[in-house]
Amino acid sequence: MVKQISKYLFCVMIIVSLAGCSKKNVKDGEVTLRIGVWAGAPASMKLLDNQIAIFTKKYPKIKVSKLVAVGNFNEWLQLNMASGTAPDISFIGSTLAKDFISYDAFMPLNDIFTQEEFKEFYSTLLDGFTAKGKVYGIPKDFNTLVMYYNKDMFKAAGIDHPPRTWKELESTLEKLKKAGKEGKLGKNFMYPMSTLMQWNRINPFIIQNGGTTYANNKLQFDTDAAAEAIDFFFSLVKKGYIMGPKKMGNPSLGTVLGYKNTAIIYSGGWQIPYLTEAVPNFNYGIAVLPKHKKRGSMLYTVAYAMLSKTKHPKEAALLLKSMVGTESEKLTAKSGLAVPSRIKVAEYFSKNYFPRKALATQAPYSVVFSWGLGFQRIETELDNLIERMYINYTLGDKSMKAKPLLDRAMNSLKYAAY
Amino acid sequence: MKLLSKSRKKRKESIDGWLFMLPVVILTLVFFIYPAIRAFYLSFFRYSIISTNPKFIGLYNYIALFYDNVFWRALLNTFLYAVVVVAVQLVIALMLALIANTKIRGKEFYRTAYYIPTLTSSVALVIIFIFLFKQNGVFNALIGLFGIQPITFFGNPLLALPGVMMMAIWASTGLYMIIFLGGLQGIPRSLYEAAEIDGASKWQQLLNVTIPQLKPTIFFNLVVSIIGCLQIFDLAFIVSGGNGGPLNSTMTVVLYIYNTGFKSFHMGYASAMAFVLFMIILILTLISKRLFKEETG
Repeated sequence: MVKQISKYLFCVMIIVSLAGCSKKNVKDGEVTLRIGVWAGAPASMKLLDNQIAIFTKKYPKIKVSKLVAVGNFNEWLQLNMASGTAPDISFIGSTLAKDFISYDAFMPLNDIFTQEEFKEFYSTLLDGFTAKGKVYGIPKDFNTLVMYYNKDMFKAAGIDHPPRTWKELESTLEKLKKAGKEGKLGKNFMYPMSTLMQWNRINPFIIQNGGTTYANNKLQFDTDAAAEAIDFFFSLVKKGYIMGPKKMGNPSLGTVLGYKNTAIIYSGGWQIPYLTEAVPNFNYGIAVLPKHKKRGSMLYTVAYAMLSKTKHPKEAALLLKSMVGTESEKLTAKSGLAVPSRIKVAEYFSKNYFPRKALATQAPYSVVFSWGLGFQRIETELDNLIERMYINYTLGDKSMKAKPLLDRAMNSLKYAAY
Repeated sequence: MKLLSKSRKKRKESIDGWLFMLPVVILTLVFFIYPAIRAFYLSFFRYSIISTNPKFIGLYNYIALFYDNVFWRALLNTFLYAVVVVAVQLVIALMLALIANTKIRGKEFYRTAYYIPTLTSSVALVIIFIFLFKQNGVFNALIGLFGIQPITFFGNPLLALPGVMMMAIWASTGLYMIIFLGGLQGIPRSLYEAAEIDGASKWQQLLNVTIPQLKPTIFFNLVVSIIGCLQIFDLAFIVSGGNGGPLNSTMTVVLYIYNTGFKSFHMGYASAMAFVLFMIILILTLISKRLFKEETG
């Protein structure tokens, strides 16, 4: 009796487990496109839905289903590609684009866009998604690293304009420190300036000093220009002008600015929704980063790419073109969340959001956040370098120089870019 | 039941034997042997889990490994961790086993109490330890009573790895204690009686009777413990949030393999690393075997 029951249970178990192997039902004529995105603030998700609605209105026969990645987007996308459940169109950040492209993850878009159409986008943005002469992703919007500053604190310290050069930056920070000590900047004030201790946030200093991290498909950060720039940055840390946000009580730069722990932060446009909601009457300004030998900043951008294994390339191409079309980008401009990647629409953004104009105007001389192949290994090594110096300048003897560390990092990364 | 002839019975028994083993054999082949061979094969390719057409690059992965200072740091961390944890663990486990083997009161309670930590989940363990050792936590409050400045453990590049070692020792000493207990109970009383008659002190008995008799047990514990420690992943992953920080101080080889294979696209590179680790563990095990054979042989 027991034997019979267990035999039947076994069969049932087999059948039930095989049910997981069913194939998707595809109704005739109807195409469902899947678009892979990462979770964002409610305002960004709403913007995305509105942009998708523009497409579905024009092509009612094509359904679009949004796939929101769970956890780390890079890992999510890789796992889905490996298991054959990847979306048709997907977000791709500039940092990892080159790696994905090198594994033939995306389709080249040179057949879908003409050269004239490519020219409508900022070329510095497209560079992050171009390889072997072909374009694999169209950036949808971007942010540059800008200087947010507390206008009230500046006034109280006797500063009449945001610093425009390295020299002015130093004297501004000096004045802020003095005013803070004298109690003129409120009781929450801790340090004049805050920034994340990551290589990509310090890279603008390197560019402003004439150096570069990555150019001509090569890592080139072990130059004297780069060492000088990093040493300058940490000399400001040494003088007590700059501190990371965590030491001021909160890991978020927007928070330490909004809570008046600091007067200046280097960050991107993503702080704006937080500042608007959390501290609505906060009197702050946005300025371009100070220059030295050159102007420079970082470009943070995300593109739409078409997965090479998509089963509906024609429809996916239509969706991609729509998501980066002028109409969709006008919605981005109106939301103020990021600067549209189309040059004409970005000008529209600058006109309508004049205080945020710095985000857009820095684009032509900013460097896209991409260090080529093997990005994660390279980023870890460079971030560790900055962290090591930061620990030395906050807890150590404050005498570490950048050049030997740069040489060591370059040597360690000799075989990493593949 | 039909009566079977002797040879048919033998054949039936062997078929039954194979049938019993079949699920395990299949699982081992599919999930251990085949992946190991394939990983070794892939270590000569530029391969990622999204690769459609892996490119053959020969020994490039292994050369890159040689220049990779994070790998060398991971190797150093892992070895340091293994040496300290194995040594401390086995010494404490032996001491506890010796105590638990005597006629003291409540020895059943002690045996259970020391074994229970091995059953805790790694995540719970890390959460509790981080809570106890944080800046304003229990440990710092205690040493503060003696006027000592608070110590950060898991945010400090020098103390993060010792912190992980502490957790590991706490969590697995009990297991080795139980194994030592088993070994101790296998030592015939007559040996101790003979030693006592010869006038040996308790300490001399320990050195000349107990430990030599425990050689097989010590060998087993040593090898199992080393193999386990060299593969440390979960504690390092949870403590550092996956990045082996701060400043690579908690980066272990397996954690680096995981990060390289699943986050950085370099599954081929990760396979090369895994193979190197395998060779290291194999060589260490063979050396241990040699050392013990020579001593007892």
